[in-house]
Order: sequence, then C-alpha cells, then structure tokens
Amino acid sequence: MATKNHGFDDEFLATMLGDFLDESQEYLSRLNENLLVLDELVDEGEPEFDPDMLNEMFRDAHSLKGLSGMLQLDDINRLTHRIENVFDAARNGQLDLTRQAVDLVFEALDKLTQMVDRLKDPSVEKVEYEAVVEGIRQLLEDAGNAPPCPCPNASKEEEALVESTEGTPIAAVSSEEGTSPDNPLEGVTDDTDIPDKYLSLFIAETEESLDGLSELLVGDEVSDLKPLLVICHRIKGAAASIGLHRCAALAHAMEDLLQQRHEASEPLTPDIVDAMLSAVDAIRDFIERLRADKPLEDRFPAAYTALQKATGAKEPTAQAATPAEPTATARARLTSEDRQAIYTARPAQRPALAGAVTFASDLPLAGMKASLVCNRLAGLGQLFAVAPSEEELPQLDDVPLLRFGLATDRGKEEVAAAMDVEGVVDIVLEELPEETTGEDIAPAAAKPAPPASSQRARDRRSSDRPAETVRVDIDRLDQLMNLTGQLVISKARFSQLCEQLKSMSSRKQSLHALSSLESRLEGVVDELDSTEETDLHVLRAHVGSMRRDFEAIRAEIEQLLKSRPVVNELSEAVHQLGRVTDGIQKSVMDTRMVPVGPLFSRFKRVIRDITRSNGKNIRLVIRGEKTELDKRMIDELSDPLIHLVRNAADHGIESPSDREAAGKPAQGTVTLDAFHRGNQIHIRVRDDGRGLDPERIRAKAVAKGILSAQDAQRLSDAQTFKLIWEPGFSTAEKITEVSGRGMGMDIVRSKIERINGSIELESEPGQGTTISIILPLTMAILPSLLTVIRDDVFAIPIEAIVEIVRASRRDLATVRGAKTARVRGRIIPIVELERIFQWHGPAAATAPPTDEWTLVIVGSGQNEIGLAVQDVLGEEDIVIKSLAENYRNVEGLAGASILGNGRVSLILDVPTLIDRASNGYGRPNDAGAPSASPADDVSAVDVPTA
Amino acid sequence: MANAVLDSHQLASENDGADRTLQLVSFRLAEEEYGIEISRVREIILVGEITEVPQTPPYVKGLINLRSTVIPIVDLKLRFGLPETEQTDDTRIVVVDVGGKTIGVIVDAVNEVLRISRDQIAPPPQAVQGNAGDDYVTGLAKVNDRLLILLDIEKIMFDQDQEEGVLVSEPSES
Repeated sequence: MATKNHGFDDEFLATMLGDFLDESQEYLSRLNENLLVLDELVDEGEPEFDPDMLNEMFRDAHSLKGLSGMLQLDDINRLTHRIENVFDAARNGQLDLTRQAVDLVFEALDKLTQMVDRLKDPSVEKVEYEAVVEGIRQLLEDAGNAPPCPCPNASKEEEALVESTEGTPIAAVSSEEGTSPDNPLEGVTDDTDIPDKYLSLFIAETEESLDGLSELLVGDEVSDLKPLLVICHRIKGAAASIGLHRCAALAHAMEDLLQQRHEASEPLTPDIVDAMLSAVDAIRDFIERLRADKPLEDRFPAAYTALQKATGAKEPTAQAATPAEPTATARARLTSEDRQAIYTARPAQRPALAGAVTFASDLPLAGMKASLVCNRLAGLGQLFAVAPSEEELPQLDDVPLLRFGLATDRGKEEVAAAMDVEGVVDIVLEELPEETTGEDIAPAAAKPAPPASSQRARDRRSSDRPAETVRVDIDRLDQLMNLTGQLVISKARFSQLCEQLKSMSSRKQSLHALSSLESRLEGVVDELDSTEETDLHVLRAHVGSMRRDFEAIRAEIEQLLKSRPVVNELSEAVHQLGRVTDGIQKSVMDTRMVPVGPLFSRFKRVIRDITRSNGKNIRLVIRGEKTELDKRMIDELSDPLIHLVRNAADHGIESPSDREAAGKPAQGTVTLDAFHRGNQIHIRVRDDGRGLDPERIRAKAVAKGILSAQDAQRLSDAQTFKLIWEPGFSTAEKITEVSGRGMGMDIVRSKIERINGSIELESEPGQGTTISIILPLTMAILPSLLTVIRDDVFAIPIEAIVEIVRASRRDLATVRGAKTARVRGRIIPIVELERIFQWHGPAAATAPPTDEWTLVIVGSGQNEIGLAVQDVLGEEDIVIKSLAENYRNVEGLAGASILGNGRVSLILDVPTLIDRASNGYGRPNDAGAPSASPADDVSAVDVPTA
Repeated sequence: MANAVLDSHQLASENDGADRTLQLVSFRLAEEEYGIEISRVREIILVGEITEVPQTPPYVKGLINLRSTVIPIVDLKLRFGLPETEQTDDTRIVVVDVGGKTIGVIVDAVNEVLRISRDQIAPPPQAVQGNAGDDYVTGLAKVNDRLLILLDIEKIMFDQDQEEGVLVSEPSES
C-alpha cells in the first residue's frame, strides 16, 4: 500500500470506481442533508446537536475517506479527512460548530462534489481546494485541536498515504479497546434500528464482496493482496455505516491481517487463507440470517480467534490483528456504542458521567497506571462499565484506551483533575442523559448479549424480509427499454398481419354467391336441354365447362375456409403475445422508476444558499417525494428544476419587509410537489411571492424585439405570460455557485419538451406563481392515433385528442380567410398540415375533398384546432424515437416512430401546431383580411343552415 | 484510476496520427469522384423508403429506419447545389458516424475502398472550393488518372453558416 500500486487490473479498478461514484453520491447527499439541519440549528442559536447525527456525519466522511484512500484518489481523500476531523472534534465536544464552521464544511462538500463529478468527466478543470483545507486546519487550530495528522505541511502524497494506512475507523474502535485479545468482539453490539433500505443494500453489496473475496482467496496464488484489502475495507465500511459493528470489527481484523502481510511483502500462508475463508463464511452466515430475518447470532468470535491463530502460528511476535496504533497521538473518544454500553450499565437514579482516557503508547506499567486512575475515580463515586475490566488492568502492558462510567455528583472538572495521572494523554468526559426513554436504548441485560438486542431490532422493524436488490448499469436498462420498444413494434406488425388474414379468410358470402350462380347456371342448362335446337350444342358444351370451373372454384374456397380455425388460433396467439408484451413493457418501465425525493432534497441546499445571499426568509416545502419517475427523466429534470426553484426564490418571493407590507407572513414558501394524474406525472414549483407582472413582461418583450408594442397590448395576461418561454426573452444568466449553470426559460422549456413533457405557468399578482411540468410516464412509449396526411402516416398523441369528427360542407365556414368547422356548436379552426408546415415536394395529388373533412380535434378549452386528415388508421402504442438522437429537433414534431411495416412515421407535437395555427401561419390571405375584432368575426361567420 | 479513463483517448489519437496512409471510401456525385475517410463510414445500404420531414432544408430528404434507429438522410448533391437526378440502380446511402450521430448520405454510386498515402494529397485550390460550396474540401488526391475530392464530412453536416443549413443544431452539446 505504501507505493502507488500498478498491480491493480484495470477492470477491477473500473468496477471499484463505479461503486465509488455510486456510494460517494449517497454519502455526499446524506452529509449535505445533515449539514442543512446543523445549519438551521446554528441559525436558531441553540447549538444542541444530536450526537447521533454528528456521529453519522463523521461516519459518512470517514467512509468516503476510506474508499477514496483505497482508490488512491488522493485529493478527495485529503479533503474528506479534513471534514472527518471537523466532525470528530465536534462530536467530542472539542469544536463548537459555529456559522463559520458550517459554511466551511458546506464549501468543502461543494468541492468534494466537484471532485467526484470530475471523476466522471476528466475534462473538467481541476478543483482548487487548498483554501478549504487550510480553512479547516485553521478552524481546528483555533479550537485548540491540531488536526491529528501531525504533518500539515507534508506533501500531499505522503499525507494521503498516512490516510490510507491509518485505518482507525469508528466501528473498529471496539476491537482496539477489547478487554482480552481473545475476543475483541465482546461488548460490541450492533445498532438496533437499521432501516430496511440500507439493510438490503448492505446484503446485496456485501454478498458481492464476499463472492469476490472467496474467489480471490481460493485462487491459485494470492500474490497481490491489494484487491483483498479493498474488499475487506469495503465490507467493513458497509457494515459500519449501517451500524453492524460486530461484522465491521471482524472485517477490520481481516483487513489488518492482510495489511500486515502486505506491508511485510509476505504471501498468505494456507493457514491464513483457511482462517480468512472461515471468516468469510461467518459473515456469509450472518448475512443469511439477516436476510431470512432470523434471530441474529454470529460466529464472529470463533472466526476472529482463527484469524489470530493463523497469524500467531507463523509469526508469534506479531501483535495479531490489532496492530500498533499510533497511540502516542491517540485522542480519547467515546463512540455511540460506548455511550450506549455505559448508559445501559448505569445505576438507576444517579447522575452519571461517561468517560474515556488514553495513555501514552510506550508508557511503562500502563496497566498499573490505569488501575490507579480507576482507584481515584472510585473515590469520587460509583465506577461501572469499565473496559478493560479493573481486574485485568494491572496485568496489561499496554492500555490504548480506558473506558468507564462513573455515577457521581461531582462536576466534570473535579473528576478530570482526579484523573491527572502521569502518562495520561487525553481525557473525555460526558454527562449521561438523565432520563431513560426505554425505546432507544437497549435494556441493561442486552449489553453482553448482542443477539438479543439485534433480535429486538429485527422485531421492531416490519417483519418483512428486506427486498433484495441488484445494481444495474443504466445503459443496460436503456438497452432493455429499446428492445422492449422493438417488441412493441413487432407486436403491432403481427396484429396487423393477423387482421389482414382474418378478413381474407372470412369470405363466406362468396360461397353463397357461387351457389346462386351455380343454380342459375343449372337453370340455363335445363332451359337449353328443353329446346330441341341442335345448333345450341356448342353453347351447351360451354355452359358445361363453366359448371366444372365453378365446382373447382367452390372446392378452393371451401379449402380456404377450412383455414379459418387456424387463423383464429393465430389471432389468439398474437393476442397472448400482446399481453406478454404489455407485461414486459410495464415491468421494464417499473425497473427504471426511482423516487423523485433525492432530486427534490437537493433544493433544500439551493434555497438555503439563496436565503443566505439575498436575506430573504424562505421555507421549502416538499411533497410527493415518493412519486416515481423514469431515471433518465430525473437526470434531465435536474437542471431545469434548479432554474425554476432559483427563480421562485430569487425573483418570486419578496423581501420579508415587502411581504409584511403586503399583509403576508414574512416567511415565503416555495413548494415542490410531484404527483400522478392519469397517465402523466405532474411536477409543480409554486411560490407565494409577488407573481408575474404582465406589464413588465410586455415591455420587456417589446424591448427585446419579440413583438411589436401594438401586438403586445392586444395580448391577454395569460398570453403574455407565455412570452417568457420565447427564445431570447430571458437570457442565460451568469454562472453562479448557487444555480450551477444558469439558463434561459426557453432552454428550460426545450429541455422539458425534449423528454416529451410540457410546461405551464399560472401567476396571480400578489399571490404567487405556479409552474407545472407535465411529463409522460415513460419517455419511450406513447399511445397514439395513426392518421394519414399527405399520403403519409402521422401519429397524434392520444393525450391531446378530444374527438374525431366528420365535417360536411355545411359545417364549414371561412373566418377571415381561415377555414373553420362547426362542431356541436363550437367554431373550430381547421388546420392543414400542408399549409402550416413547409414541405419539400409539391402538395400530394390527393388533397382532401372539399365537401367532407375528417378532423381530429386536438387541444383543450379555447385552444382547440381541427387537424385535417385523409384517413384515420387506428390507435396504437408507438415507440418514440427522438429526432435529436441522430438529427435535431424539428418544430412541430415530437419525434418519430417505426411502424409495424418498418416505415418511419412522424409524431406531431400538438402544442406547437396550436401555437402555429393561432399565430396565423398558413392563412391564405393573412395580410388582406379585414381587421375585424374577434367578436365581429364570429357574427360574420357564414354558416349555411339548410 | 485516471489512467483508465485516459486510455481510450490516447488510443484514438494514436491511431489517427501514426498512420502515414489513409483509407477512403470513394463515391460518385454527378460526374465527380469524392472520398471520405473509412473510419467515418459505418455501412453502405440501398435506398429504401424515406419519410419526408417538413420544416427541414431540401437536402434533408427525410428519415429512414436503420435497424430500429431513426436516421436522417442527406442528399449530398442538393447540399452542394448540384441538380437533383433520378435514382438509379447504383444509387446508395452511405451511413456515416459524425459527431456522435449516425447520418445517411445519398450518393450516385459507391466506387471502392482504397488506400492512399498522405503524400498524394494536395491542398484544395481556390477554384475548387468555390465549386463544392465551402471549405468541406480538405484536399485533392490523385489516384492513377483519377482526381478524388476529399471531404470533411463533419463540416458538411455541422456547417453553421449556411442559412437554414444547420443540419444538426447543437453539435457541441451532445
């Protein structure tokens, strides 16, 4: 580990890196969330921090540090180490989390996020983070905590190496302070309430790790220990991060053993391999129990002993699996497990302290010194939960850490003073909480019996077994979705062919026709027979041959009719295929669905930063975070949503004084909401701010040259608001740290439209603005009506269709030169694709007849148009192919699709068609039309009544 | 780790630079012979049914279904301002990969795949540039008695200057 290792094979590294990207995302988002909570607490000025939260933050930072160290991501490693320092100091009460500290950590997390992003896209410029590291160092120094790394000026490389070899994870503390070297697991208990979600992740991940480990271990020759180390570290991290400390401790022991071997450049002996494998089995067994939700027992102590033996046998001098920690600089710390152990052992009804002491590492007679400390403490009150125990202390040569509980009325200072014995390096004292809540703290009896407490935890969770998960590359899901799309297309083709066959084989009438023809022929023959004219014999012969021919035809048709049952069967089979296809399509869609919650959570930070910079008081309300969306859609939504939320907070919400003046609460609210409605998903960004000002928008649109002042005045408010989506109306803002990349509203709209969504805006002056993003359930499949226009097949999304009508001549009229149709009392403009689009070739020869039109009415409310089509083919689920994939988006088209016959057909984009139609595209004599008011137009409609 | 990411880039650039020879696909447009780098060419197919797309420049003939992928078809002659001609038995679509997109190009005939040395390539004379429209001509190659006009297919597809001629509006974004 001490050198940059090139023995790693690239594939392994790539997998690790992928895992790291995944995991780091989780850690970073949790850190960010917790930090936001801290941030609020700091703001409220009552820094009563939840120690569990600080612990969790420490743990997350620590896990990140460990992972990055293993992958030799030195920069990330270095920065996470600093963040870890901060939380370590904070949870030990050595650092006050001030505003400055929180801001600094925010900054550090931002830098970290950038660094992780940079792993995905190495072309991004290097992240400069030196200032943050220095800031944290300064912060800790001011608080009287020099960072534990004794060499702040050491070269990066060197420091990074210190990190990666340090290996003192929180979870493993238990093994360091173990009472006897034989069983470091004694007293280590698992956390009691592990969320199912994490548990199932842990199970999946660790199983994979164990498989990898076994494979490496049983391999021919284990020459490179690095991959083994990485895996053990990963198991340790995974277990520790969800509070399975016993498992973590064992994995830590495995890691230590490997580390030793690695540093000594010695290969693994068969004994060690055996011991490692038995440890793997023990963990596997443990996981099996977790999965089956059985009472938790483990064989970890035995496995640990085996590990000890294996090393001991070959290398008696080695200090087994607890390597010499740099205890000279070790600081005393209490883990949450320590606290719990002490808490559960406390005598009732007495105030008590929890404490920890460290001694200098090379202290002679450390055990005796520790005993002395115990004696002195016993003089101040009742000593309990001492580890290592008082009996064995005098025999110990080395006591890295002494942990105890003390029931006493004396103050912390007095107790600390009593402990000031030669060789004591560091002391931590904490007051234990007064009251017992029962639920959160395991009963006293549970202390030496972890299985019992774990069992309780299992029981408290829902008794369901955790769902098993598999991590899948999103590209594979895309591939699957594509294939499903093709399956849907094939299904459509089959149905089409089947229908054709059916219509061909159901010609019963022809048989009737044939019969009557034959009988008439019979009549003719009889007639001929009755006449005696001899020169008619030629005719008779002809009729005879005709009769024979007819018989042959009859036989053929009868044969054909026999195929009917087969066709019916085929039809049944195709139907079944359709059902299966639908099932597959639905399942594939489901696998791609992820909750929108994590995306929404990111905006807490956005709001926080905005309020900090503009002095507004804004609350973010998140609703419907469980609503699920296609993963790709979530990815695409992130940028536009940030922009919308930022807009709402920055421009929508007024300053507190303005709000109060307007009679509103000083605190503004931005609401993020997601919900299903029919086959769509709505995402809403709402603010209760000042609303849009139509006058200002008109003025700005005129100033930007989007429309003339005259036109602007004619627009209704609702029409005016639509102007903000126009290209060039809201120009891209400069890049800020808050929003990341700024973009214009037109880009927001086009991004939403690119995922086949639409965006709507409502605004009420003084009441606020609501922007709704409406998305299809999937980006891939769209129920559509297939129609024929210009002799080509066009698909119209069913969602947009109101009805299909046939308009005869008398329903038609011309309003200001534009064709309209009267449909059940409504006057609906007729839109001909021919006219509103530019085509290359001349108009198709078969223009629709002017006396009867088939109109597909699309749109809603005031915005209905009748799309003239030549024919309607029927409804079908079509697979959307983006035009931008290989070409570019075309206005008026939502994409393309491949039909059952293999041809490409275009999908019409209804909102654009309506826009174009209402903007007067394609009116034959637009300029020459008399400029009457709309009211006049309607009254002037020439509607023949008869 | 960073190495693993860099490797593919390095590989690509090495392949481009090290070779002294160039492999081309040559094809005919009207009476002229053109060549494009073979690395750009994905396949050559017969002309099937093309679905016309409105709101596009005339040289974009439309869309076809290439094994469940929808790709645009460009008529190079129209792109170069040459008169359109009827399809013949020799007419082909050359499917090229450009800037991450797959595009079909209609040509009058595909001639051959040939290998030329970089020494054979002369820079385009001023006069020829005028003919083909713009600076898509990267050079002229003399092969035996024939003159091959080498095209930069990427420039043709992404030319931003031509009015309404932007085939792919956001080459940098994707």
